[in-house]
This record gives sequence, structure tokens and C-alpha cells, in this order.
Amino acid sequence: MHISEGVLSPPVLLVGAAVTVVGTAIGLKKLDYDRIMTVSLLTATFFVASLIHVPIGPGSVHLILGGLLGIVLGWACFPAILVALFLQALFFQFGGIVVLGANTTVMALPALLCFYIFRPWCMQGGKKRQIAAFGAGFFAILLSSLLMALAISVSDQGFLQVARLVVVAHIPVMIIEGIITMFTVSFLAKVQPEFLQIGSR
Amino acid sequence: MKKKPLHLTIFVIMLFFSFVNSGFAHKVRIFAWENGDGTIMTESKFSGGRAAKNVTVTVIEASTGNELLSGKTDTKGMYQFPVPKTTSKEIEIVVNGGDGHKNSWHYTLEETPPLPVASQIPETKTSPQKEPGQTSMQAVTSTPKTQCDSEEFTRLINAALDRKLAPIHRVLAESTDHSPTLQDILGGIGYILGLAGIAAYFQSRKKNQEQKK
Repeated sequence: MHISEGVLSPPVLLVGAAVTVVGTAIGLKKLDYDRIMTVSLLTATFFVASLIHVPIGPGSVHLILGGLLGIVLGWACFPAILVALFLQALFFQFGGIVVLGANTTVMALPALLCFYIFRPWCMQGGKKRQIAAFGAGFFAILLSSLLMALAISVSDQGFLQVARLVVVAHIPVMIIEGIITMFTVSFLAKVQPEFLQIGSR
Repeated sequence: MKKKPLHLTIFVIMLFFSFVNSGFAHKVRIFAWENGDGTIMTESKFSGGRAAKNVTVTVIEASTGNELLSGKTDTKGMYQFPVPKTTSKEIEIVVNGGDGHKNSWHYTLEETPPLPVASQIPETKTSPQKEPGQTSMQAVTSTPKTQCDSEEFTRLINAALDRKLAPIHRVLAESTDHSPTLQDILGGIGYILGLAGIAAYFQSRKKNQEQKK
């Protein structure tokens, strides 16, 4: 899901950087002392998740876990994803420093949206929580793929062509991430419900 | 409070170990080497070893940015093209996956691109058949022809060497691909924990200052 350097045009890069700066500022402002460890743990999870390659489907894709970060962290997913992507660019040469803003926006904005859509359901418990968690994992990837296709198409090729390529490649990841998010959230809700509530303010 | 992050820690460790058996995939790489028959072979791969099928490869003149030629890779991620005729020897071979993955390979063309080997083969076969005396006589009598022969001979050796060394060039090209190592991963996690520490430090200082007031 990381866009390489030299693919996007300068206006797209600037918009991505601006959204990232605003999101990160709000995320850091909302971040209080008790949540720092939660955020850093999920940052570490996100950082290693992209090393897990999903060998299904036509493309070459990996886990992202944007939905999990979004539903647990809310606005704090922006600084978390920014830091993780920066380190991935530095250590793994995934993406790049110039496209950092655009990549952060592509992954964090859908995560934040999932927080607002699925968070209320997630608080209710039972079946609804499971469905909400699956939805967060699934739709975060779907929306990220569409956002990425939009970013590329504005700079380069037609939207439909890129969207088809990216979305189809990510269908297996959507389902897998939905299931992973569902199990993680219901597991945490059972054993450590405070962990989920922390992000709810 | 202390117990809280434990489950996530386990989750992180679980993820961390599960990567060992899986490939990495996140960027596209392209390698190029000379085949020895007047063509350049390129191979495109996603990091993790999966071939990049049916992606666009473009050859660009490095100094001017002009597009020289382009084409699509086959099912093995290979794309072959003839050595382009340009005034500058530096070319850039760009692979674009169309899904946001893009990379390039810088290639320096040799001074004299070798002639197609097939047309040279009969001559190589005839030379050993000649008697030693005949060759020395030829050398004495017709000097210009020998010069021409030695030129062709060098060209032949170059072509044969290129052909024989092509697999080695390929391995060398591929070895420049750097996939994430354990150090990279642990280093990254270390940075994240360090940042958490810095954030915690500033937050606690703010708290202390508020208490003092």
C-alpha cells in the first residue's frame, strides 16, 4: 500500500502533507499521558504488520491493520501511523520520505473514519461489537485502496484502471484484516476492556 | 494498569515471529544485465521474490530524460530489449507497477555494443582449422586483415564473456536488493519505544509544572 517516490505529483504530495500535519497535530493534542503506551504499542504493531505478506490474489500485498489502529486510537492513529511509516521508509525502503505525508493520509484518514462509523457500535458489545470490528478492518483497507487510487489517478493514470488494480489486489487483505480486527477487539474487550475504552474520549 | 499492554505485547511478538515464514512484499525492484547478444535483459520483482507480471518497463536516456523505448514484462517479470542507440551511455530503466510501486535501475552502456553472436560463429569454427603456418604467413603478408581479425576477435571474446557472465551479472544485480533484516525490525521497534519515552517525559514534566502552580 506504500506509494513509491516519484509517482505522485507535487500538488498531491502537498495535500497529503497538509492533511498529515493537521491530523498529527490534533492527534498529539488529544493524546494524554495514560495513552502513550497504548499508542506506541499499536505503532509497533503497525510497523511490523507490513512485513506480513499475504500470498493470495493477483497482487503483492501485506497486512496494514489501519482499522485496528483507527478503532482503538481515534485521532491518535495519525501520529502512530506517521511514525511507523517514517521508520518503514528509513529501515525497509518502503514508500519514501517525500511521499510520507501522502502515505500517512492514505492509511490514517480511513482509519479515523472507521473510528467515527464503527466506534459507537463497538461500545455496545456482543455481536454488534464483532460486526463493528470486522467492518473497521474491512472498510479501512477498502477506503485506503480507493484513496490511494485517487491519489495516483490525479497524478498519472485513469482512476478506474488504478482502482481496479489496487482494490482487487487488496480484497484478500480486507477479509483477513476484518477477521484479525474482529478477534483482537473481542479478545481485548473480554480480557482488558479498559484498553479499548481508552480511545473513546 | 501494568497488565494492560501485556496482551498487545504478545500480539506484537506473535506478528513478529509469523513474518519469518512469509515473504516480504512492498516495493518493486528492477535489475538489468547485458545478455551478450546485443540485448539487455531486465527482471522485475516485488520484494519478497514474487515476479512483477505485465508491468510497464520504460527505458529513458539519463541525461535528457527522453523515452527511448518501453514494453511490458512477461509472466516471469522479464523484459528484453535491444541495446538502444544513443549518444550518451547512461540510461535509466524504470519499472512502474501502475499501483503506486515504481523503481529504476541505472545502467551504463559499454563502448562498443557486441555484434550478434550468431553471425560470428562460422568464423570461430574456421580459425582452428587453419594450419599454424598458414596463419603466420597471413600475418606477414596481409597486415590490415589481421588487424581486422583481431578487432573481431576482441569483439567475439567480449560477446562470449558477456554471455557467460550474464548469470553472474544477474546475481550481482539481485544482491543489491536489501530486504528487511532482524536489525532493521528491532531498530524500528526501539525507536518507537524511545519516542514513547520522550512523549511520556514531556507529558510528566507538564503534569509536574501544573502541580507546582
